[in-house]
Amino acid sequence: MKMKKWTFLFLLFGIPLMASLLEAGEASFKVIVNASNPVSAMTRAQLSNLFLKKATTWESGRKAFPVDQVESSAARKNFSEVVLKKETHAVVSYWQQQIFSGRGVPPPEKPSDREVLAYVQENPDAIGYVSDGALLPEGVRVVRVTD
Amino acid sequence: MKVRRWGGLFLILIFSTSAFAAELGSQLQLHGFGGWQYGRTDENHYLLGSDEGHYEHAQFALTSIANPYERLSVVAQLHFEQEEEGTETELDLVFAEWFFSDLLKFRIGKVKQPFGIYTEVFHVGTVRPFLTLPEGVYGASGLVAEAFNGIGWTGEFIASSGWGVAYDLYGGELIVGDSRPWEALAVPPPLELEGEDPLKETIGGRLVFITSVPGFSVGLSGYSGEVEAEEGEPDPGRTSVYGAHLDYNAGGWTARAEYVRKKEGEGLEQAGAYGELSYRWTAHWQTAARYDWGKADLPDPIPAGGGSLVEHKDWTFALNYWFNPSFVLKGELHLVDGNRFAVPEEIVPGEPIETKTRLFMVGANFSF
Repeated sequence: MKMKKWTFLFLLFGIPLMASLLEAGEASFKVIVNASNPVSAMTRAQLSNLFLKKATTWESGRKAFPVDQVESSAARKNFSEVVLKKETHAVVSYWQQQIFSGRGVPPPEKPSDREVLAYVQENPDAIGYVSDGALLPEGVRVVRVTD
Repeated sequence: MKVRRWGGLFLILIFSTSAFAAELGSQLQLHGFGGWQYGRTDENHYLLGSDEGHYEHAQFALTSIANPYERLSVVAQLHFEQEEEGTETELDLVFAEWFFSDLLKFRIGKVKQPFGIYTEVFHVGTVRPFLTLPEGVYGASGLVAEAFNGIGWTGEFIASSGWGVAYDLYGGELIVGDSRPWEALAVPPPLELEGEDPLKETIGGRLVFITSVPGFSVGLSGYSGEVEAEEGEPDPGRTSVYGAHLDYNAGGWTARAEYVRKKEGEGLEQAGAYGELSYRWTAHWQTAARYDWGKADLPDPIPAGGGSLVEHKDWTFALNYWFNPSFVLKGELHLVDGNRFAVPEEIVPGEPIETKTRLFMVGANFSF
């Protein structure tokens, strides 16, 4: 009986564990800031901290304003997996924990690249991400992401 | 009458927050969560299940978070819970937080107790793979509380390498629920087998180490408080609780484990632990398994036939369907051994107790 229970648990979790270890993410988005922002490169962990609001200020001491894309966007899915190292549903779950424990609220969500670009263009301390092919207007520039 | 009064307050809150939101825009946010569940056991009462089938458990909570000034947050949560006996309404939390920096935030009011993994999201079903929390740690053994009344400090620091630390320190009063089924074997049995003990002059804290492995953290928690002596009774001494946890959440996996131990003065000692694992096969389907354990060590010998009343083991298996991250249908099967939390309707000294219980539950959780 005990053996059966462990076999059942292995089938339940062992196969997906092996499959997930073989998966690897590739970036198909670019991180953008307002052109007046002096930051030109960030580590993945720094970026993750800003978007999960574990850090809320730039190195200059000014408050950072991250902006997300909606849950259904391909850029959000890719950004969550590559930068936050979580699937989008896990990021949503993280924000639910933050909200209902009274610890914080998520960044605003925009429905398209265009609206993210407009938000970053208008806010000197904003940071966002758009799909790789998005054309950048004046007043917005790309930040290099390193490991 | 009580329900009507709270219902009125709830409506006032809705209307006032709508007006407030219109005035302050993104500085006020309104969120909520809720759920319903059905439970049926083959023996005993356990969690929200009975041998006749229990349909009536439903809950809803409304959370408002306001930032009237850049450094000030005001948070409130009103929680409604329907049970067989009626609807209970409770102010889950209400506090103000002043932001000095990411490393230092000051909180005052009724605040969720920072202990282990789940105390701050006790009733929120969309943040966990099971309908219910593990009884060994979060059940009626009173190891943890839902909130403290008092003051606290919190903060976190994460280096660019990904390593970091998050801390909480707090002091005030904790209300801890407690159930002692073995007391039914006393002659005559006490009138109430479940109660709530306020712990005064409590101090506590939690330290979480965030590792460079994405989604993996480990933590230590503890608190100690004074139980007020009843008139004519000796001083029960301080109650102290400590625990450790680990939490992994990445790539569709969650793996969580906790161990907690409680000592009440020179008397009762209790311990609880669990380990749970879940995996999302697709965006919608999730499976999960959990082993949950709890034990009470009494200062006096247990009356004959009552050994199972201090022990708890529960294997739980779950299958969930997520419509999206905010709405989930869950089904779970509990295989329980022991009567610490799975108890018959009546415990009669000298009569044998069925120690094995199977519980089947289905339900839904949602949040916004």
